[in-house]
Order: sequence, then C-alpha cells, then structure tokens
Amino acid sequence: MPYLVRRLIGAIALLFVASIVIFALLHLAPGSPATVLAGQDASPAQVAAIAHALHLDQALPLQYWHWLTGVLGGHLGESYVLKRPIGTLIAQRLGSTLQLMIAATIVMSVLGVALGVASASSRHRLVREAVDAVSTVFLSAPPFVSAVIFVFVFAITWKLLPAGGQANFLSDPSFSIQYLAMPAVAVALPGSAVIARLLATEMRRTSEQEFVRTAVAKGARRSRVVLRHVLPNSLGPAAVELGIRVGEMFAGAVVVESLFARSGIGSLLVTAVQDRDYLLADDLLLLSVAFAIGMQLLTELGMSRLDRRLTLEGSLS
Amino acid sequence: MTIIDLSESSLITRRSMLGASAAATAAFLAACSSAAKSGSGGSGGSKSTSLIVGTTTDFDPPDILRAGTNTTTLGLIFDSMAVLDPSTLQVQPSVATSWSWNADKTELTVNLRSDVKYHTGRAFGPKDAIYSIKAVQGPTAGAQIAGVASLIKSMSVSGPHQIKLTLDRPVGSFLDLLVMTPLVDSATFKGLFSGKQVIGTGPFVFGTWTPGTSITLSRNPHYWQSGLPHLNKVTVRIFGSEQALVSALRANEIGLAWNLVPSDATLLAKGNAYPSVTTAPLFSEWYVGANVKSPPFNNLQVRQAVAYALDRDRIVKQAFAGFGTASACPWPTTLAGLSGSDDTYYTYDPDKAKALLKQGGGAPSQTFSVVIGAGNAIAESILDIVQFNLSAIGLKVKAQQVQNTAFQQQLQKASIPGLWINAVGQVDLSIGAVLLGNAPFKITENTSNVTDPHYVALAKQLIYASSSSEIASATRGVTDYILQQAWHMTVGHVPTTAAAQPSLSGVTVNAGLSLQLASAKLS
Repeated sequence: MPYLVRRLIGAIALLFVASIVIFALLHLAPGSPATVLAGQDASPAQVAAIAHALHLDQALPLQYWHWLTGVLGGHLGESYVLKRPIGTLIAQRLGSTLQLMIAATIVMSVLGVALGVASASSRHRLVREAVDAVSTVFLSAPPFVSAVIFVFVFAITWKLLPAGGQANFLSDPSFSIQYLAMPAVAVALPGSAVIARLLATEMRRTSEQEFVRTAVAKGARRSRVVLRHVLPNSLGPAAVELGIRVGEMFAGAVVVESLFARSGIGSLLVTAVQDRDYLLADDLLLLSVAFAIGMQLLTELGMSRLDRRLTLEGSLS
Repeated sequence: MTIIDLSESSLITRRSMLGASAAATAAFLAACSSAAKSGSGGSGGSKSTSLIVGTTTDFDPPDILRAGTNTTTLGLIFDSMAVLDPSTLQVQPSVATSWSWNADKTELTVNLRSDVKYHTGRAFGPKDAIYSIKAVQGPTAGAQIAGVASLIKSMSVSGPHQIKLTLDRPVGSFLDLLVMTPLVDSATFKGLFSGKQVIGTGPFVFGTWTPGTSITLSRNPHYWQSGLPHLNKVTVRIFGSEQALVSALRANEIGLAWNLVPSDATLLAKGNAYPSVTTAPLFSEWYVGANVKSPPFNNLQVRQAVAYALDRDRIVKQAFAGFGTASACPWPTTLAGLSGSDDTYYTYDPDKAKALLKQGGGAPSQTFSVVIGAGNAIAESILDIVQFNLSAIGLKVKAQQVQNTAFQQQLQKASIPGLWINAVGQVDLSIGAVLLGNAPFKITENTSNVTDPHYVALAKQLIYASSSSEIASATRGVTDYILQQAWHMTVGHVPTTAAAQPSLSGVTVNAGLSLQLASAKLS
C-alpha cells in the first residue's frame, strides 16, 4: 500500500479518536451552554428547562452520534450561545487566522533562513556570535512579551503602527499589512530562532558530506555549492519545525490575537470552551487537529521534494 | 574534516544585508503612517461625530433581557419606560411620561409617549410595552426583574398610549419594572437572540455585529429626545485583553475604554491624560458568600468571625484602586431606614474574630476553599486579601479559581462548599426587587442555601410593603438580618470604571450600569 494512503488512513483513525476525546472532555467538564444561557441568577429548574430545549439532556453517546454524523454530512450546526451557524462563525474568523499564519510563516522562514545561513557562513567569529545572540534573544522572547514591547514602542511611543485590529487583505492590503506586522513578528520570533539554529547546525553537518566534497572537487563555485547542495540538503529539520509551528498557529495564536485585538480562530475557540458552547468548541478543536495532521502530511511531502533520497513509497515507509 | 568552509563563502555580505534591511525598513515605514492614525479616538476633526468604544466583553444576545453583560450596548439601543436618577435613586419618566396608583396600590396606570418609534420605523405603542414585560417574565429569560414581573396579575391596554398593570397586593419595588424592562420590538423579537435583528427605540440603531470583533451603531434620526444623540456613529470594538484595550486608548485608536479594571483606570487618569468615567454613585457590590449548609459555615460565630476578619479598607485601596467605598451593607445606606452605621457594622477586627471563633468552639481544623471565577482581576485581588485575612485568624484557607462557567453552575446549584467571592449589580434598585431577582438574596433557592422562615417573612414584608414608612421599616429588618447572620458579607461597593479621551464628554449610565451615549459629544 502506498505510503501516502497508509498515512491518510492513519490520519482518519487519529481524527476519529480525537473526536471522541474532544467530545468527552468538553461534555464531562462542569457547566454547560444552558448554565451560560440561563445567567447567574437562574434557578436549577430554569437551567434544566434550557438544557431540555437544547436537547442537552440526551444521552452523551446519542449527542456524539448526532454531532459526528452532522460533521461528516457537512453540517457543523449552530452555536448554542451565539445562535449563529458555526460555518459562518468560522468563515468570519478564518481570514484573520490565515492572514496571521501566512505572514508569520513568511517572517519565520525568512528570518530563520537568513539567521541560519548567516550563522553558518559568516567569516567572522564575532558575527557568528552576534547572530547566535540574536537567535537567543528571539528564542527567549515569548510572544506575549515581545507583543507588549512592540505595542509600547511602535504604537504608543512612535505611533507608527496600530496597537491592534485587523483589516481584510484583499480589500485593504496596506492597512492589513500594518495590522499584521507586529503580531506576525511576535509569533514568528521564537520559531525563527529555532529554525536558524537547526539550519546552521545541519548546514555545518552537510558541508562535511562526500557529495559536497565532489562538488568542490569539480570546481563548483562556493556560493553554488552552498545554495544548490548544502542548503537544500540541510532544510529537513528546519522544514519539520516550520510545519509543526504552522500547525500550532491555527488555533494556538490566541495570546497574540488577544493582545493585538485580532479575532481569529484561537480566540473563538477560547470563548467557545469557556462558554461550554459544545458544538462550536467540538468543531473547532476537530478542525485544529485536522489542520495539524494535514500540516504534518504536507511537511513530509515537502521533505521528500527537498531530499530525493526520501521517497514516500521507499525509505520513509 | 570540513570539506568546505562555509564561512568563506560569505553569501550575505554586511553591505548587502544592511542595504536590504534599510530599504525594507524605509519602504515599510513609508507605508505605515495611515493605519496608526486612522482611529477615531475622539481627536476631533472630520471624525468628531464618530466614536469608537473599546471593551473586553462581547455583545451577548441571550443576555439582553438581563442587563448583565451587555452594559456597553444595551443602553445605546434600548429605552425603558423609566430611568433611575443616579443622585436620588428615584424613578424618573422616560418613554413613560407619568404613572399613578389606585387607592390601594394594586393597579398602576402608565402613560406612554406618543412620539416613540422603533428603529424599523414602526410606532411604539402600549401593546409593545406589555409585550416587553411579558418578555422579561419568560421562564428562560433569566431577567433579574422577572421576580417583580411575575407578581403582575393582569396587564391591559387602557388607552391609545396607556397601559394598566394589576397586582394582587401592593409591591413596594414595582416601579423598578419600568426601569429594568428593555422595550423590545414584538415584530422582530425572534431575531433578537441571534443578534440578527436587534431593534429598539434607543438613540442608536444596531447595524452589524461580528462576534468577537465589533458592533456598529448609527444615529437614530427619529429619536424621541429632540436633538439627541450628538454622535453619528458608534463602533464598539471587542478586545481580547485588558492590556490591548489600554494600549488602544493610549494609541488614540479608541475614544472610550469601557469597563476597565479600576487600577488601569487610575493609571490612565494620571496627569488627566485619560480622565476616568465611572458609574458612581451607581455601583456593584462585592461580597464574600458563605454556604450555611456546609461546615464550618453552618456555625453563625464562624461566619461572623470571617466578617470581622475582612480588611475592607485594604480591599478598597488595593482591589478597587480607591474608586469604591468600604461597606458591610449590601445596598446604599442612604436608603430610607438605613444609616451610615450599617456601612461599619463589621470593621476589621482580627481580635474580635479570633474571640468569636473561640466562642464557636475554636478555629475549625478542616481546610476550606475560597472560590472565585477565573480571570476577574478584582476578584483575584480580593481573594489575595481574604486569604491573608482568614489565615491571620487561624483559619485554614485554600484559594481556588474556577473556570467561569463552572463557577456559575456552582452558584446556580448553591453547591460551593465553603466561601466564594463575587459581585452583584443593580443593588441600587429597590431592595424588594433585589430580593426577588438576585441569586444571593432570593427568598427561595439562594446561593447560600438560606431557608430560614424568619428571613422569608422579613423579605416578604419588604417586597409587599407599600407605604414609605413600611418600606423603611422592612428595609431595616431585612438589612439587620443579613448583617447579623453574615452569610452574605459585603466587602465594598465599586462603580464600573472607564477611561476616555479628554475630548469626550457627556457619558452617562443607567440603573443597569449600562453605558449611555445619547448626550455624548466629541470636541
């Protein structure tokens, strides 16, 4: 059986298990949408009446079955608390999340590769150490710290960038980029430092391989050797790291979303879990898992393109 | 052995790197001037009739009949028949022009304005007033005023702009119903709870709501209060964190940061940079609740010991950042029948607290929890002080933060085994309405599990008191009982706090502590 097919079957099985875990954890946690909808002055009888109206008093397996068959049939349901179709709610937030993910991925990749290559190729020890120091600072700057510093410097003191908010990239690219600049960099910094270090280490290791010796012996220019032979063959670990980071960003950028007043999938998920908005939280968590699995598969595909020694039907299997 | 010395390849020269960086930075900065300066934080100019309000609480349609979490938007969209004068706490006309009782105070005749229109253009009439009252009566509406509304025997239209509300017996707090009932639109009521058709008669027309992001409102050109509102447009931006909200105000991106933690409002007000706006003298009451069914709090002396152990002045200074007042009394002591001495019924006295514990059989050996809903900065600050105060008198305390929905469920079920810290709004209303609608004080199914027939009798005496002297006397009785029994230990009163750009004026609040912008102006 081809590797990709086996991986897809594994991913579907993983999603199924995840759906059970997600559903069980949320529904077994104290509180329910009825608790929220009833308000804090409600009596238990009022809460029970709302729970009954929402069919939350049905057996859990039956509720799970309804949810699962709904999702499989493309019906994500309606939010208990927001009273809106979940598909619409996700669509409203997806743009913000995708913009942040794409921008952060670009920043992370560019910074990571630049720092990695600079660290591995600089002719001066001082420069290498300076690059390493910058990487260390980036690595030790959690997004919530860098976000606060950025806002203070660029929004409050210099008033160069907006403190928070978002704009549609397609209708207003200039504003959108300005709104994205700080959150994207804040999210990207730690990841870029990790990518830089992985890349630099791998480039140094690759440079000792025999195919590099052959290229040098054939008289290839050093820049060609590095760009065509060393760099592509050193990108594997960095690509895996990038894939993991991007997978996490889908619903995990909630702190940065919160600090920069962006309403993305992460903040929607946090609100849904806090309000025990079961269907919405279940759908979003499942989507997040699916996205992370998808990113992992894409990374593996990407790695096979980067390094032809890895074939999806051969050595990886 | 190293085959190729990467360091010699020098792929990125310093010159090229610096050049590229400088070019990118210059290009970026050149493009960056507009978004940062595009906010309408009340800086005047062409945007002087457009205000952006920032808040951390999203619009919550299911809560619309409760005035609980929608304090930013409710008062902008909806009117009520009457309003509460913040300075006198007296009920004043609004959409209702006047009202009168019959001789035995069992029938209220309410005269309504004839020039009020819904945002759809439909004229408001007496049937709509009755429909709105029925809406808050609904068993699943969860309105605080539902307890008062449930005492209505019948409602009828008695004139083109008049309704009659009939009661079985006089209810002292009945006029609060006129204050706390938002006038909803019967024609679009089904769309209200999804936030798709939020139609009222208020100064601003609901435009769009993107959950978690923003709400847009525009001026109601047919508002019945002539010349109001002054603002053409109000945008409510939802912020995921208090920090982002404060930053947006400092960056002049919003004109008003609504419902701030008091300490942030204090910091922003320094040098009058961002003047504080508060709901004072209307306030929320913070309290320490005790479950009287759960040891050791089934012991009166232990509860009283806790009440004496609480350092209320420190709570006001630290948790309320000086905005509130220390008090042991749940409601304003300016009400008839009460006096300033009720504020100081319990004062910080650790020795007395220890003596009470000794009288009650010594400090309990078991550890108990003091619970708060997670993520509330005021509650967290009070919790620190309470934990310290109770440990100082020998009680073994475990501070516990519970996720908010779980906390709410525990309150609804009255199942918190020890103590908890929470706030109650709308305590400026008549106490009778508070006893009927607010969970900590309800005569049945209250959060402290108090079922004492004496309390029920006192509460009913107040609810059904009709004359001023009866109300004053019954208020005294209920307050004495609550203070003496110490299952609801008030620590202080604090108004909702906000901070504004200096150019914004005319911000007010209503009895539900909801923001009012009809008279707001940007200079």
